[in-house]
Amino acid sequence: MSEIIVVTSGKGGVGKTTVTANLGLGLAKLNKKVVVVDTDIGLRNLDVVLGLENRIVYNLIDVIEGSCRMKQALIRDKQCDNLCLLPSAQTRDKTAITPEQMIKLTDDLSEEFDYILLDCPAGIEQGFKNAIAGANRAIVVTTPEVSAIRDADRIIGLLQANEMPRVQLIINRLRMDMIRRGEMMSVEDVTEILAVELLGAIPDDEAVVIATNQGEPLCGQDSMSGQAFLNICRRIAGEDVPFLNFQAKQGVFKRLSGIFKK
Amino acid sequence: MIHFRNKRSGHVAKDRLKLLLVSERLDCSPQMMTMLQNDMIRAVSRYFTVQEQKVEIRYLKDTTTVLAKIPLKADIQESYPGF
Repeated sequence: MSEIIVVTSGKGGVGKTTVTANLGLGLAKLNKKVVVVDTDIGLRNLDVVLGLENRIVYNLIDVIEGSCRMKQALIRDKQCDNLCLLPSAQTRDKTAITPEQMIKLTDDLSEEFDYILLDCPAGIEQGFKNAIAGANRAIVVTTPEVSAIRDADRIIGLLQANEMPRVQLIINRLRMDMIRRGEMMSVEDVTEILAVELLGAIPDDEAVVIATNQGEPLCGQDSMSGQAFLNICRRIAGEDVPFLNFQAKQGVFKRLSGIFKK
Repeated sequence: MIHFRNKRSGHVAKDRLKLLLVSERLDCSPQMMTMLQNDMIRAVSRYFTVQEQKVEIRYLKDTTTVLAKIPLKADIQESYPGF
């Protein structure tokens, strides 16, 4: 059975779309057949992060309403043939679809793909309810900030209330230098507060901004965040990748910051 | 209540979040949480001298348990009677 994973956060701007794009690419690079679905109807963004905005002909709503076949709406990624995008509609709103239609859509997709990643809109309204309806696993993205963590806690509560079988946490935009100074909550602090299984942590890295500017996710590339994303993908795929690399990451960070200080 | 002076902001954030999330998870306002905390301090203070600044209330989702950590003053010399 394929895994249907919803990437959610509650708060906007914490990196859901970037995480979805990178995890999609990473899993595809691990030879899995992956589709990333943008469920943010009216505010689509996953297409630009993947650099596929010029190739959109049909969208999610067209598929749901039967205006086109699934194959016509799916867009193959530039970097990896195993990865497809199902873009969202820009001219409609969240009420255009129902949770039942989402379940049907994810069921149809699961015939063809190993992993279905759903990029959830911010908030806890209709869009969120639609996105989680078909999922059998949830990844909550947060940053080490009070506002993001508070919203993540609310989302985790809602996911548990909806009997989501598995809820895991990704902590994004960690700044090791600030954590060392005690001016930012650490991975351990956030995991302790939210009390859910940790899937991985991503350092705050300008390579992510550059990759998004270029529309080419960096998962697996030779940067700290690229490696962090790939590790998360391997964990999703069931590999036992140790969290030890946080320490190593700190080491690299230290060395890097050392170089720049000179 | 808890005072944040001389503390790194990371710590401050963690402490603030802990209290806030307990109140939200229990669907109980922060004011009520503070009242609960003060009531507990008052109750325990009748018998022991409490280190009020270090009192911590947590809520464990998995076992639906409220956990209160109420450290006492060990040094009798420094201690003062309750309320």
